[in-house]
Amino acid sequence: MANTNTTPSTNKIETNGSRQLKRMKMLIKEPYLLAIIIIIFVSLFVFSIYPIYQVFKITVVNDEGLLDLSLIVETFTSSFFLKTLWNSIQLGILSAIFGTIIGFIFAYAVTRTEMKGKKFFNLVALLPIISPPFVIALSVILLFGRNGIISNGLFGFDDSNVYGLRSLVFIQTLGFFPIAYLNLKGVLEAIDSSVEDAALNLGASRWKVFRTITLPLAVPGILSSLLLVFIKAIEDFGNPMVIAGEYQTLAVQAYLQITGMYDLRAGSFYAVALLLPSLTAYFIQKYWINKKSYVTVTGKPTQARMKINEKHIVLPLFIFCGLITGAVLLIYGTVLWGAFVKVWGVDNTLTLDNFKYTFTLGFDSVQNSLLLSALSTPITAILGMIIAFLIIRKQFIGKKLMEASSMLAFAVPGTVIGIGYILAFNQKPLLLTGTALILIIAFTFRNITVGIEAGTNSLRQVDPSIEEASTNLGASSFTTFRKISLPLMKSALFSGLVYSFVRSMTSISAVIFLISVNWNLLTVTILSQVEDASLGAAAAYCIILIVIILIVIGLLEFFVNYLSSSKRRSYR
Amino acid sequence: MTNVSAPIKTHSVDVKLSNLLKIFPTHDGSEDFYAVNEIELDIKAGELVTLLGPSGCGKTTTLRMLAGFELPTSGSIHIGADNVTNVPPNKRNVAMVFQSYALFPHLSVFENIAYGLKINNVPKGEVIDRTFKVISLMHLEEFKDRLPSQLSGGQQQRVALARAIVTEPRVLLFDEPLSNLDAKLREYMRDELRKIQQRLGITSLYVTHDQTEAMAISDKVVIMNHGKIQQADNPIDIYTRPNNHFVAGFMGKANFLHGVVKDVKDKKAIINILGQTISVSVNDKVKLSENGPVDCVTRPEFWELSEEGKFNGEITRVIYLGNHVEYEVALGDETITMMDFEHYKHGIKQEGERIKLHLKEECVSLLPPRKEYVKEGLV
Ligand SMILES: Nc1ncnc2c1ncn2[C@@H]1O[C@H](COP(=O)(O)OP(=O)(O)O)[C@@H](O)[C@H]1O
Ligand SMILES: [Mg+2]
Repeated sequence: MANTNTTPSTNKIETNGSRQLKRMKMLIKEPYLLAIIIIIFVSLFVFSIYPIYQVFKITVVNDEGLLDLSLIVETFTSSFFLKTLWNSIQLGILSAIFGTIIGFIFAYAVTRTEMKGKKFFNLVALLPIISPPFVIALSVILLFGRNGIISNGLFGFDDSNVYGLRSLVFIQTLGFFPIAYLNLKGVLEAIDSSVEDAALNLGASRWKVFRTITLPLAVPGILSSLLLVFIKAIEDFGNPMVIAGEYQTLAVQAYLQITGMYDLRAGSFYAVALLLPSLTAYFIQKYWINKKSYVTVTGKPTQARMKINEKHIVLPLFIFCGLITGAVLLIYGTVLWGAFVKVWGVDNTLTLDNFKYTFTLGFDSVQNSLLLSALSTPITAILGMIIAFLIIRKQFIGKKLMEASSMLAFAVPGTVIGIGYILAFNQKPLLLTGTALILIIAFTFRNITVGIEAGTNSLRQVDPSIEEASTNLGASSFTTFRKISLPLMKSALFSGLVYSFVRSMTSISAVIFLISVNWNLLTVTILSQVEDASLGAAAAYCIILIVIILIVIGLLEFFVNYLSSSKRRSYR
Repeated sequence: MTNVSAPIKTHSVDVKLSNLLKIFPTHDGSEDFYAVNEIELDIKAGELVTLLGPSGCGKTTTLRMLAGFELPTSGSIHIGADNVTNVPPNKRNVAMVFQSYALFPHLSVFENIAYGLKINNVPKGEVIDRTFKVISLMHLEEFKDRLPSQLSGGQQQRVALARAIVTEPRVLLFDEPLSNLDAKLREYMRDELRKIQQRLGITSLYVTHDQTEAMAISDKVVIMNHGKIQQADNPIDIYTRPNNHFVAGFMGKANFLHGVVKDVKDKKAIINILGQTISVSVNDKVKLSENGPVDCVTRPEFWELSEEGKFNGEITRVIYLGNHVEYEVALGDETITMMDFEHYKHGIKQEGERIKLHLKEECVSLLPPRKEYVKEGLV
């Protein structure tokens, strides 16, 4: 179309560069905006990019500061390392497959059928997401371990081997299938119901519709679920630490090398080995598969979906979901019970001793976790919303870089961040190790992507002309953000707050490197209780943690609703 | 809907767009896309000017440059005496009514309208005062506490207009404001918009792709195509004295007939078309030379069925439309469209029927033949 116009002869055509320059000039007229952009860039560089760079650097630079590849060569030829690497990948692949299958069946049943008890299944599936992952490992020990009620109590085995790959796959599947479930639920809901209706209308059977329409349309969602569960399973630290036994994984080895052998370089190397597959998987998931997605958000409300009601379809799905839900409930019920019995498997009388013990042993770590998570949560959510706003609505140089680097600390395994932080912040001027600040910063930058994703998704659904209308009436970018965009992102803000709080409270892989005598955290305490075999106390701590999370979610929901309704009064 | 006393002060100012150019880089960056191509436009104080043209011709882009949402690649924009070319959008005091209305979904009608005043730090008492005045001007009293989602399309439209005028803007911009309304309401709102604009005397730029709407409300209509202005005139001149084939064809229907100039005298040209001679007023849009080619613009309503008509034709298509009948008629090698508004008198003709037609020669306008136009690259 462009060349049907006659080219203006009198005008000098702008180059790309001068276009950018003009944008910068506009930015300078909004000094707040410019300042915020600069601050965000600097902090992303210092707290995300730099620490990760440090981890890479130490693996190739020796103590004298010279380039030294011997570590890499040595480790790569050691069969122990190769075995560990393979173990992690094997664990990731198996968990990803099982977790995605379960997640898909759950999602299909919930979105496409009239199955009874959907709400309940949905709720139970969220339990593993809001609790620390190693709760499941703890529960498995309680059930199947030396004094396990099933292994020992029911069958009378003296020593059933609960440690190893099989248990680990079981645990990771149960712990991370909800991620696949939520992801696929979103995908299946977003498929326009009229597409499936059209197939039915053309005479396809339910099975045909599923096989030829629903499943192919869900393929990108399935692939991204596989990758997400894979990442989660290989980077998880808590479960393998508790239950892997002889089955070594990268995340655990990185930790043991550093805390057991005091070998920072070897530990870093294991961390880098962990980082490469998970980062690759993350970016494939993010950029390649998401592009392929068929699902489009039209913004138009589509008509209600006709739900499947045939018995021969619904009943098997119901039984399947029931079994999985039963397993989840058994897991959490066991921990709950374990928190209230005297000596697990030996003396099953009910008691509050475990809770008393946690209070005498120290409630500090509970308070610390709560305080630091509570401090980092609002920072994470607000910062996430601001970055989302900048990325979606503003033009500036380096936008792509901001987007990518804000994702980095999230996509990278916690182990890498933990090691990176101790390497990067152990001397002046950024001497942060041992402080509470380093934990808050770690929480914030680990979780910021959550806030950004929530914000960008909701902003994409807000018609940009609503914000333009505000600007048009004389509001600055800052005022528009505060008065128009932020209130409209309310529900995203809520989920950002909840999710980053939960992630902070339950995280372990990064913070285990960063805690100190003064600032110990709840998850770390639980882990050490498990290692000391005081399972009752560990169970009690887990229950306390889950209860705190539930209370805070409730409070946040109330608070966000209150905030939005209190403005309804002015000027009547 | 309008009240008697004008509650809003207005500052009528001129607007001047000079040499305005907007280039968008294309996706692959290979070629630049001229969305707005060297536009010159003056809007007099208090005037309502309409930008009219097919979708994608650059109307919205022009409007958004005036609002400050797009920066021109080159050229300048003056509002009154101020050069606002590089003034940020929130400092222009130019109010826009958006196609989607863009009401703030979380604010009540009252809060939506008051928003611009609060932003500009108007004292609280005055905010309430002025907001209520506009609410009553627009007859929105009973809806003032509702959320936008609880209003009908027409009511939302009124809130959008109220929100725009309450700040007493220097210029009012409309981007296809009526396109989301049904036909009846569209006509009603169109007339209300025009009444309020005239009462307040706010200089306005109005974008639409609907030619009837443009004719009905404008002091001046600007026809655009491919980012260029094709003609800027009052509605009557646009319709009766089109600058080129595009304008003639876009504004209503037009039959272009090739003719040969036989003679020119006393501002009249004698022209041969379809084997007949007609006498047409000369205009300044075309240079006539004896025996040279010329195009005659004949609108469907310029033709009538008449026993005394010079033109013999055969009906090839009949469309009955209630108040008139549209016929396609083959006249020699050419086919024209004509309208008969007196079908109750003439009866409805059948396909294949032979008829005689009279052409109202005094209405016909002349254009250079199309080929020449294409060569000059103007269409
Ligand atoms: N931000 C943009 N980037 C690239 N092309 C654009 C952009 N905005 C508009 N265009 C193009 O410029 C042309 C004119 O658009 P617009 O002014 O919206 O047309 P309309 O006359 O329909 O309002 C269109 O072809 C459109 O695709
Ligand atoms: Mg447009």
